[in-house]
Amino acid sequence: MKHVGSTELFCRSTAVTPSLDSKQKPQVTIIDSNLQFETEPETASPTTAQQRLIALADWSMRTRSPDAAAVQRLWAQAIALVPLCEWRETAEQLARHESAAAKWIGAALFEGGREFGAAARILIAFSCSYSRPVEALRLLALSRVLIQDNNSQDAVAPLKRAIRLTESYRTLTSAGKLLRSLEHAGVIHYARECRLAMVGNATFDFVLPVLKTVAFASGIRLVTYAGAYNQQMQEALDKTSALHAFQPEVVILATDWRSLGLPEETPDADAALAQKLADITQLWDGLATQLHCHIIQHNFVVPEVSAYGALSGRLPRARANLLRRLNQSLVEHATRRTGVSILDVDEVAALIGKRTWHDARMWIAAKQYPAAEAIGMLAAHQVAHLRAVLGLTAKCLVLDVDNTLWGGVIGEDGLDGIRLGGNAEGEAYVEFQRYIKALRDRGVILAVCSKNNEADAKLPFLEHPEMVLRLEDISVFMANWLPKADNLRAIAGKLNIGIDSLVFVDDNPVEREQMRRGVPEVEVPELPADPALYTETLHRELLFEALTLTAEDAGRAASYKANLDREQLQQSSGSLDEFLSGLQMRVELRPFDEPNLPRIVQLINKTNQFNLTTRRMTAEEVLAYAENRGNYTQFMHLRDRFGESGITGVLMASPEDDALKIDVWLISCRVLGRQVEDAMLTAAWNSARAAGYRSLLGSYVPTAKNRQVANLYDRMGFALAGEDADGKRTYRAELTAERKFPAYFEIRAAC
Amino acid sequence: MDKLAVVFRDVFDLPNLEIDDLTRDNFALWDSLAHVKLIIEIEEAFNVKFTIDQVADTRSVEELRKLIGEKDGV
Repeated sequence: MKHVGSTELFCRSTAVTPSLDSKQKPQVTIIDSNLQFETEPETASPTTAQQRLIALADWSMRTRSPDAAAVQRLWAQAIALVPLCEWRETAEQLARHESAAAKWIGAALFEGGREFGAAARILIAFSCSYSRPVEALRLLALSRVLIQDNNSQDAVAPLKRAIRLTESYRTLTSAGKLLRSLEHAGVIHYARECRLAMVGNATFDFVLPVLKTVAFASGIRLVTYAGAYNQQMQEALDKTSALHAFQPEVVILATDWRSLGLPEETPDADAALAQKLADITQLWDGLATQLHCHIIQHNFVVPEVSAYGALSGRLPRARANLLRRLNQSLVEHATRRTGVSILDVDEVAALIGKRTWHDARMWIAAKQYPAAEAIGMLAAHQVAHLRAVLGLTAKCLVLDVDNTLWGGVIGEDGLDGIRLGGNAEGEAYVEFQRYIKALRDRGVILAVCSKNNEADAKLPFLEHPEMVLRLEDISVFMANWLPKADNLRAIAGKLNIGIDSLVFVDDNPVEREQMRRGVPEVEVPELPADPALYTETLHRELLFEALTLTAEDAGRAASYKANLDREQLQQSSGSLDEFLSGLQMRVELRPFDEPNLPRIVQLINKTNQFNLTTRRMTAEEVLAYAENRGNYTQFMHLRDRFGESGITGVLMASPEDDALKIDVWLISCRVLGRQVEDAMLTAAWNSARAAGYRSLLGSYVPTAKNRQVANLYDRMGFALAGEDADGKRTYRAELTAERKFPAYFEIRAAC
Repeated sequence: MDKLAVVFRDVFDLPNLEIDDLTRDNFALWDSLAHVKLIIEIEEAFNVKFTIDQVADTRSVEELRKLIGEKDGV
């Protein structure tokens, strides 16, 4: 049914019915009441639609930087005018005009006229980087017209970027609709799927769809379950509950302060606190033992409104005070266990503003928390946290240098001409460098990718007194005149990490766009024009959030330097044997233990290349496996004469009749090429043999990233037992003779 | 053009929905979750704010039209 004066756009979740003409492609249209359809007000001097269009066009040509509200309003007005007047000439004129507002209206007119290709061509040709919400709307509109132009493939990237740029509930809901259309078209590819349950004393029906949309923009496909109101304890303990049937990998415990039942003042505060904490940890225990899932516990938002006012925080017995102490205790208790992490929603509420966070009417009417306008911010933080849980956090920050790390161009301005320190602009760059240096110190790898002569680009690192970053902080330094996309691939290759774990930061929007086109897997945040805002902009992308810091993390950058030393040794060695002996490697092989569990779990979840089965496990699952006495667990710790590599190998095996079956076998990409797999297998082999097993079984499950180990078991002397249609292979080796460790290792085996 | 109809069609994902006679009793999809979604969307689209009892007690399109008409929003 068509309505005069509107463009109806709808998105169906069921099959699209084809039009009668089989040569025509089915029409795709998107419904979105966020487009703010305007009702025409009665006016004393009625103007024709044509005159209104001219007035609109005129306004737009004089407006350089419309804000988000204006854009949405005017888009709808333009679309409403299309059926009522001659719009094409105006649209073409506006498309050619330089102002962003004019291009907006031009594109809107073409969308209203269902000429989606023309609308897309306009939208793609300008950017609104002066405002993240407006840029998000542009990318959303681009995605929408591309879908309607039957070009779902190209609609994916702008949709992802739109989602990353916005926290608006309306925009994210619109994005969610487009996402469903694209999923239906089969063009979305996810890096990871995750079964996530949200339970607590609130309704989650608003949060979960937004969470799914935001997770998509980070490559995660969420399969979700919303717990029944306040039934989390019952559902956790009841094996027949829907929560159990759902088998979540991760559970978000979104209980808020009202669930604690704390009055404004509590007489015996210490006892009350201890009791509340015990209740919470008891729920953790219940979930962990029954479901073997990771738990993300929301801490408690300290409410703005309290009859005690500021006293609530000052009095030791008053509620705000208790909530803060409880939040602190939550962190302490979570640190002592594996499988539980705390999401600081009190901080998230502070970021969005507690007045925005809490909508009294929505809470009373529907137990809805937080308010709609706060959901976007919450989802962004939940997804960043989830990425850390799943081991998907970015690993490497690649930096441009000119006007990114300092003001000016080193090749032209020279050491004395670049702005770094000294004045306000220079201080902004110093602040940015301090932030980046601190990232490096906690384990983020740094690289440089600059269009410069290498000597010029390195000069400030070596000689400028205000430089915070020094050359040794940079693990890979690429300064040349090649396309940056090629350099990014080379950097990923050198570091032996996936291209999708890189983040690229460059002040130049043209370079950024080229990178997005050339290497779509790399994350390229938008940077504002003002360097004073670089740090907070990068920070708010939440790309490097981590759950814990292991010793390996902290030492990572230094270990990359040691790797360069190893490379040199390799180049000067006559043979592989000579190289391996020259390393003077010491390998420790031990069964899993509690202190090393976080690192082991980290490896299990983020190792892709040398990973035979790519079986991901939560901390709880790993613990359960290790506690089963029949199973064999082994972690490998490597050091050599150049330094510590730390825990870099994991092997897990379980009994299967008279054989021991290897379920997990992986080695960190950092220590490949040193034959440590030989040491790990030998220990497992001899241990299995000594325990009386007759054979050792292994399997290879092919993925896009683990081709290099496709023939590992063959090389290790196993016989191929079978191969199925998906390429999964099973192997068998008879444990007739003892295996010898390779001579170039010093071995300390406790298993 | 019926803006309220567009909101209903958007929330329920039914492009051809006729809304004039709908009530919470005769339209099964209009459950409490949908009701909250409608309130959020209507408040935004019409630039109005409902009171807590209006949110809780409104049960038909007819009542919604009346309420919106009484508000000062655009």
